[in-house]
Amino acid sequence: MSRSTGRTASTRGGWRIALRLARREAMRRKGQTLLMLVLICLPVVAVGAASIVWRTQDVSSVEGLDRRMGAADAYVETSGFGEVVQAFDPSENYGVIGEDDVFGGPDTLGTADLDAVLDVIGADRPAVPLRTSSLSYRTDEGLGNLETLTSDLASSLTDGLLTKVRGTYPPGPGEVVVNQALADRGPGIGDTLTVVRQTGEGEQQIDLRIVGIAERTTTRGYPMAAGLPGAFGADGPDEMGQWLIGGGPVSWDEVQALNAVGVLASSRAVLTDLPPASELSPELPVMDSGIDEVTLTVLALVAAMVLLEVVLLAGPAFAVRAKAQAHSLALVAAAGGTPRQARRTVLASGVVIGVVGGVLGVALAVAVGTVAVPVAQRFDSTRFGPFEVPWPLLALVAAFGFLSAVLAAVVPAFSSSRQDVVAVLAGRRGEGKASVRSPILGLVLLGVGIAGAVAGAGAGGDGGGSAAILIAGSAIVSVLGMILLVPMAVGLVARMAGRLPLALRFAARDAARHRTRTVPAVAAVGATVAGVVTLGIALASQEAANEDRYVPMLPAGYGSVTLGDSDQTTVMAILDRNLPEGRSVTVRGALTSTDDGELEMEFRDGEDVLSLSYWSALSTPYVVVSEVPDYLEIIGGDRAELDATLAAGGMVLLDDENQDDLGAIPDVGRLAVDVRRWDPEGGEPELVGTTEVDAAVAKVEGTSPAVAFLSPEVVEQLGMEVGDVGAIIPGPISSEAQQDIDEALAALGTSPYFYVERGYQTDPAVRIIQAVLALLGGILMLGGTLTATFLALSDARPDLATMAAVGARPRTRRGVAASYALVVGGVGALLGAPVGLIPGFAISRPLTRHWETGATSLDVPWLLIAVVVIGLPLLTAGVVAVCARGRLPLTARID
Amino acid sequence: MSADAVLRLSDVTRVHGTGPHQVHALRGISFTAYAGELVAVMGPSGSGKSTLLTIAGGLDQPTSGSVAVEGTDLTTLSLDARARMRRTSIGYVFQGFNLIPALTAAENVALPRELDGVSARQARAEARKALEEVGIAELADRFPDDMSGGQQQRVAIARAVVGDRRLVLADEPTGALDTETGEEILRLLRARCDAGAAGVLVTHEARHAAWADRVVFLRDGVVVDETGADPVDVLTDHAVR
Repeated sequence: MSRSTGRTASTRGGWRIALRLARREAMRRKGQTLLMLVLICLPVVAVGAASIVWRTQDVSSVEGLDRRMGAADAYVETSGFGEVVQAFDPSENYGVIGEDDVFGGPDTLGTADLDAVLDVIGADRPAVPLRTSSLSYRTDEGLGNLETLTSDLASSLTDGLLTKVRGTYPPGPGEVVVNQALADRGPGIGDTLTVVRQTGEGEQQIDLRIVGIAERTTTRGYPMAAGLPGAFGADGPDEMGQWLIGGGPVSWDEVQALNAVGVLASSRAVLTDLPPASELSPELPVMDSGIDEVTLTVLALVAAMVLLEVVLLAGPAFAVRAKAQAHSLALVAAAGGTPRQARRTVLASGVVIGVVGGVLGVALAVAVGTVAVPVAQRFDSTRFGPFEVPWPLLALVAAFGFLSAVLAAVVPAFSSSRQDVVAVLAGRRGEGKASVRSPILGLVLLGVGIAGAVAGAGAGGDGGGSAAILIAGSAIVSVLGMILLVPMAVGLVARMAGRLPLALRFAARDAARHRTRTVPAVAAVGATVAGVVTLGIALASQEAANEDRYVPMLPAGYGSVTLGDSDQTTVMAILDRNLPEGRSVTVRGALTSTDDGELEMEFRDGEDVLSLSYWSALSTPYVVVSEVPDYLEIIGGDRAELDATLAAGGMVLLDDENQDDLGAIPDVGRLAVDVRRWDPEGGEPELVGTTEVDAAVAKVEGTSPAVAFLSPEVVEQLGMEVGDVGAIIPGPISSEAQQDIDEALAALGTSPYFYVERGYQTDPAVRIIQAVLALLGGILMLGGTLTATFLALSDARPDLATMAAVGARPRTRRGVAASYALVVGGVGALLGAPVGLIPGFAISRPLTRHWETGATSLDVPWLLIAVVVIGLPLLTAGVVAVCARGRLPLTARID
Repeated sequence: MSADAVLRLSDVTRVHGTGPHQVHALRGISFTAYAGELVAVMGPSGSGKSTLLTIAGGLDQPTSGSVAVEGTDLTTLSLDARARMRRTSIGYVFQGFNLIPALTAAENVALPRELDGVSARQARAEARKALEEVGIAELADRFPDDMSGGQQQRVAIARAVVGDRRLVLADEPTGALDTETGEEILRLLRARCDAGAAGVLVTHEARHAAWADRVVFLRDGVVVDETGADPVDVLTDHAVR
């Protein structure tokens, strides 16, 4: 007992000495300490500041009360259902219960039923309606969108919904206040705001006088107008009722009573003082809690990868510090110190740097967060909540920094405790032979990683989540395996360096001689490259899959207009105004919309009804023509033959690539056509016409733009009417012309649909992500390489002095520096790229697997890989060559 | 003895620091070493022996005075040009051997030639020849860490003379060696001088002076005494030729 107490005391004492030594060493080598602190701090600062912005941007239920309900005690809204259950905050979750669960049933409450609502919670409570909706308004260019808010703005219940900036507030009848974002786009105080509203009867325009500028407390940057109830047109009687309720706290029991009549309520009293969760109805639908197991696993994997990267990046600095202490440690060992004490001394460096780095990182994170919050707010239209520092989260991040520093010191600590005391005291600077076991373990881990990736790639069916996690997990295992192979790779490069130019030969051999310094740097580069390659392949493959599955609706460059209810002359005039006149070809089709219901055609081979696929890019599935139009690109079938069929009063059915799944169209020469009318009231469709005609089949690429091209005779025999349904415009159509046409058509109110086939367009986000990926990879590689290079240079000072003594030019140091960078970057990249390829190939499978056909796509972004593997190491070497001091230490060793 | 002056220091002063921290390492030293001659420089610690050597090799510049190697004044040369002189005319031997551990024996010897832009193949051939001359040709592919002290110093001497350099500056070259090996190293230096080079040997051991043609004594940065064939010349620098 006393023995173990004594041991604990000696351990504590040992740590005290080790920590003191580490602290002194940190003060003595300030530059090196600063480098270590930067490497440990940076991720802490970045993650810490991001978490502050995230927490501040996130508005909790309580924080958002005034924005949502002003000064009222509750905000209630009818649900359209007879009976509901809700979470404490109905915007988070609610469910419909009871037998009458049809939306808008006869007994449900609506906008006219305030009395019914107040009956439940007290008829004498004050209430004002509050409604927000999205409408359009006239701008100088055409139409813009705006958000409207209507309420009795003079009522004190609405205090806090809006803040007055200038002018008159509240607005009176026929008046509105608008926000600065709307005023910036056109009408200001004293001007008229014309709000456009689409109703069942057509377009309604409401002119309102702008009397003031006020901002909503929830959002910013999006045009907004606020007025009295009905200012933007009357609500229909069926619409949902929404009110602010005053008159004292609304209890949870009252909320439940409201739920019983189908009303949802957000009560200030309930949300500021949440009842126990047991109060919630068991009938409340189960919601995803947001963070599921997959998300957690992904977060854990990301954290592990970041930790690994930080440890590897900081590793060389700790290795060099341990090396600097090697002589002292050897003297301690000669005087009877144990390996454990040596280990502790080096580990203490990690502890000291970790504690200082963590605390400093958090302090800097708060500072950076303070600056970043207003910047982030500029890019977000939702107003942020109050500035919030998530201390527990920051503590976790600081602990992460501490852990990374200690882990970075572990390997140097163990090699210090195993160092050859005699060699160190004799002044030999190299390290002993590399372990034989670790490359074998590395190969085993690599094998396990590959197996995991293959298994993940094969695992289909159960959704991509678990397969992706398996692959990501095995990618980390592969990277760990790669790290264990780095010493061998570095040694191999050193052995092959005999024929290289002096600077490279020296750098390669020196790198191998100082493994504890070189290996983490090479591994950091390797891990970065592996990550970039994996993500690059994943991204490129997904993009390739999207492109593969893209189905053009029209020949490339063509445009089409669907008229809908629009006036044909007006639409054609708009087209002619913006495009060379006479370009557009009118599409005529069998009219399917009639007053008695929608018509649909069915094609039969005897009793067999054909299933035909189409996408109506031509405004109608049944185009009426007398010959096959030029814009239809036929890849199978003789155009003259098809024309002959149409001329003879027949029809042409279109066969596209989707038809394979639906069954081939029989080439029988004659087919029956039925027309059925769908009863708008429900019920069976009624046969209204039938005929039998000659049919030919045209094979088209991609998806067919219509079901069939019919001759006028066929339509006549079916008793259908023919009309102009749209237009098709042969390309090219410039994107400016497209935008002008879009705007002009939008102003018509009837919204004819204009489409231009531009082929597959890569999502700009993909390009941005690729650029960010390359940039991030570049920064990490540059960071890892630069640290290792400059540490190596300071280590190699005696050798550089010797070179100077035998006549090296000053620029030799630059050459050596660039060579170090090339060795570290090159070896890392060459190891990392293949390690990244495997999980990249693997992840592309679950990521791109077609839900139905199971087809997958693979695209390897060779350019990105070449940039990362060849370009970045060369670039880094170039940067180092430029940045390195040319001057050689001259007299360092001749005194 | 040839009358060809390989190294000539004229009134060389070296002051380190300024103001009250000023240290006069050398105070107006004049000194000449001729081809075929081995000059021993002796003196107590801090007498300026090593400063003399760094200035003679162009690693440091004198505060005043001139340093001429084979007729070229080092004080007028750029850093680059002085580096070239060290590659082609001046060879250094240090007490601590100062071999680059990442390079093999042959590569260490070839270093000045490679730095001079000679092809690697030729540099290596010359290095092997130089190693042969110092008697360790068979160790050409070994790394310094795998050699004894005496072997390392032979490599260092080979590096100092490779490429027919005519001035060899040796700073306590036997300091880290046992007596027998030390004698062996001095014999090599002597042989090199007999073959036509000028040698300057900084040492504090009197018995090593026996290998030298002349001995120069330094104290507090001035020459206080000398022995040897031509004492007047050493002190007054009157031309013998």
